[in-house]
Amino acid sequence: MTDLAHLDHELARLADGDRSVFSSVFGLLSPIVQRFCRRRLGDGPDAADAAQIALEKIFARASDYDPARPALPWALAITAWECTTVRTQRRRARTEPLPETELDAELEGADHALAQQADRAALHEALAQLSPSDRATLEEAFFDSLGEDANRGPKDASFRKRKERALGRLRALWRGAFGNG
Amino acid sequence: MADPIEERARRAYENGRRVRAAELSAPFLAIGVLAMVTGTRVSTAIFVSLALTLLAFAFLVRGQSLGRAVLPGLLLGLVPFGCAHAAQHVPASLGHLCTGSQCVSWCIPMCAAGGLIAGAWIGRLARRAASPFVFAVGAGSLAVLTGSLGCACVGLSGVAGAALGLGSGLLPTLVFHRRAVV
Repeated sequence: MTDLAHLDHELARLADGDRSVFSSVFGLLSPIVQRFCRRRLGDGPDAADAAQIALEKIFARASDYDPARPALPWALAITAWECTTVRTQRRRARTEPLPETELDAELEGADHALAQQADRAALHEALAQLSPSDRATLEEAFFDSLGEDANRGPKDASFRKRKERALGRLRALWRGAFGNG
Repeated sequence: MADPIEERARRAYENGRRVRAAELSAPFLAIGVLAMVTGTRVSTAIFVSLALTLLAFAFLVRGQSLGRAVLPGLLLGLVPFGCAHAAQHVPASLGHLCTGSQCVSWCIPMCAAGGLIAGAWIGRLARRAASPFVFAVGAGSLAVLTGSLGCACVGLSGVAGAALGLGSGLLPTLVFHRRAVV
């Protein structure tokens, strides 16, 4: 059984009230949640706080977990929401604007780059969950938009439909894991 | 020593279960209102529906076979409850059910029959449960409480009739599956 299938199975048992699997579920989820928070918020106390709160919320809602759905996106959706909340709180905590300095501009650039890097990693994660045919369709559409696939001629209606469906599934995965933000 | 984050997560899990159980069991108080509307004494309806809600809450917090027993227990408890109310509408011309030496109100045999049907049905469902004995005991106790809201029409003898009927219906399951937990 893969780790993900094992997590689905153990979380389903926990949702049913089987306390004997608590430590096992915690052991599986904790490193994933902590890694996810570090990627979204950077290394530091914010990521640790967000991970702790996210873990508490995941377990508080464990009884509502629907065993028909995969556990990891469900847990990561709660974690992503918590990361967004912590980031918003951190932004609001700055009541006075800091003086604009060269260092601040540099830090802002670094923060932006880090956020971009995290978003790109998240996109890779979402793409990895798509079926191979959906991934191939999106790849073809991407190269088509760059004009690198001109020899194939104009795309037919069935390709456009496939592309729309693949994009729809990608959007749904993204929303499921990271919310609407 | 356990990880403090794990301890907090464990507390959050238990609190989450309690909140969910409270949300799911609170509507069970409505059975008491239904019993009052259909003529059960107010004090009996309040006491029994509170006991029913608290028991359902405890079962839902515990989860597993006991948690899954809550809904069938409640729904099948409505069988003796309904039978008892049907007995109250037996025409006065039929009087009592007489068996040679003594006569009893229709309420008692109807409650026993309702209990028997509920017990047999719970036993059937229990055979498919992970822990048949636990499921049968859990669902049976909730069914007796629900049924007693209607079967209290002739006092404790009506409740005893429902419990006896239910116990008889459950007997095969309790006997054959007891080994699973002993």
